[in-house]
Amino acid sequence: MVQAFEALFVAEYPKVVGVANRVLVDRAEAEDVAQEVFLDFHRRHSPTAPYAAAWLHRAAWHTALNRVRGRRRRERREELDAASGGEDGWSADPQRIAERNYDRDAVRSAMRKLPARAAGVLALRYSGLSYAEVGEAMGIGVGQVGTVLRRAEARLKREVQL
Amino acid sequence: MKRHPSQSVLRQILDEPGAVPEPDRTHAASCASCRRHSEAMAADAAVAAAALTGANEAVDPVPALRRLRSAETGVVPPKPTLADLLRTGVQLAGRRTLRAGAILTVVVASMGALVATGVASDIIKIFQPESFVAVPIDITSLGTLPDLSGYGSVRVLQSPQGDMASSLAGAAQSSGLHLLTPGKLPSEIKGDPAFHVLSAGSASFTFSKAAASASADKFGKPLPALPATLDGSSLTLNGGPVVIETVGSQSSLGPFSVPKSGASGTAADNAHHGLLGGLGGIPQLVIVQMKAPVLYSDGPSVAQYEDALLSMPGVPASLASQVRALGDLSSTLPIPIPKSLASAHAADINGAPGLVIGDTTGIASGVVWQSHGLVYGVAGSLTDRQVVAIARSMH
Repeated sequence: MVQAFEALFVAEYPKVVGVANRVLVDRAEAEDVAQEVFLDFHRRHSPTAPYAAAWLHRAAWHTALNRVRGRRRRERREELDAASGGEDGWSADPQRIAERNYDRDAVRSAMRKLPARAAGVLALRYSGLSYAEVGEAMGIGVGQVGTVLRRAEARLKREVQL
Repeated sequence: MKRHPSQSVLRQILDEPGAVPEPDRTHAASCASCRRHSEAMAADAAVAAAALTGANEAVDPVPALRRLRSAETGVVPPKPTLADLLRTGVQLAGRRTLRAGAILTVVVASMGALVATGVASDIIKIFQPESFVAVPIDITSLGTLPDLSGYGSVRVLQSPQGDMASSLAGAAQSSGLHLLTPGKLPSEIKGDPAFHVLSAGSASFTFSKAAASASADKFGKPLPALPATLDGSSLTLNGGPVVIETVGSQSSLGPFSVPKSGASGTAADNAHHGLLGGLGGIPQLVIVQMKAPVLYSDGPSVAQYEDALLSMPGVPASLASQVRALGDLSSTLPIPIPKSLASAHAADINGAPGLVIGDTTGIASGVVWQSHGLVYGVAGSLTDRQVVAIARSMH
């Protein structure tokens, strides 16, 4: 059973981080979310459950969205990061930092404002999941994914271009 | 005028055209109204992509797994294991020659995976086959090749569960795959199709220096010098789901069941596991469609794994030199072909590189190819030309 959990972890961890990162726009926090999601899964479910991957993807989306909606301390930390000269290999150039923060803030703000379903389909799809995987995670048919995605993209465009 | 594809289908065409039926793709490409809708969707999608795809750094699960262990001591033991769905193939193949072939496939696929993903050691490697290449082998030399247990321990992590489906649509729903169906079949193939669905599976292989040494002793040869990092390193392969469509039957064949797998298998499950047994004979045509397998490694470098596996006593020198001669195996899966029993050549399957394999007596042929993340195989008691024609008619 433990071996199965490790195999599941190896297979799905990058995807879970990817989903969370699309919502949070913060790699470190996305990895925090992934850790939380896997621990939660481990305590409550069997790693051989057929729904394991879909559960993890869905939990990543919900957990990340709860975080981005629930608090603002991350924004404050970024302000401190910018003031201290940047991180993550980005240029310490103040103009670059300002542009990056604007972009990250704009995307995060837009994702926070979107309906949960729209934010979810965007996070799932743009983290690289197939339509079938997105459908499983959202509990909808593959044939509906395109419609939900199309509407979410139009909504996101309006939000980020305001 | 054909009905326009739905908004959902038009959107999916932009991302996964291969998953959309050909008539819809053709209509969308030729219809001015659909093209306008598609262009508007593409514009919105481009904005979303610019906003959301900026941070695609590689994610390494290994340190993350260590972190998880430290957070939850005792939940996860200290050594991650790795898998190999082809282990299932090894289990399915009762005959020695088939087993040896499956083992070789495991070995070369493993090396292909490692080579495919680059250079560094101690990171997870990923391999997904996109094309196939034949490696002619001497069947007589395979009789001495130990199976994987001669090099370490194999464990099925998630056994594929078998089930029947009453139709292509049912198989598609059960597997979650977008399935293709062949066009007109040769007249000699008669009967209704049967659909068998195997769920996703996973298995691990952990290399053991002690086991390898014991195998070397059987050959009366010393174990070659191995890097310390090899002992205890693991490979994991995740594969499936798989849909197997069979048509027609020729002669009697006994039940051929998927191996039972630990806790996840039940008597009821196993009652549905027969792949061919329920057909009353060997099918004339078999069509396999599966999600491309993915292989992971946690341990040694590419060069270390390749050198170690190919230098093991029992691995034919000719095979070792052939695999080494393949060079960069990025995205390419070598398939061992017994020289005395079969031959192979390349064929184009609607733009995808296919590998055609035929037995030397002309009784049976098969072709395998990959497209849009799915691996396809068509085989039967047919000529090379017939299986290629069927493969190209898949839609």
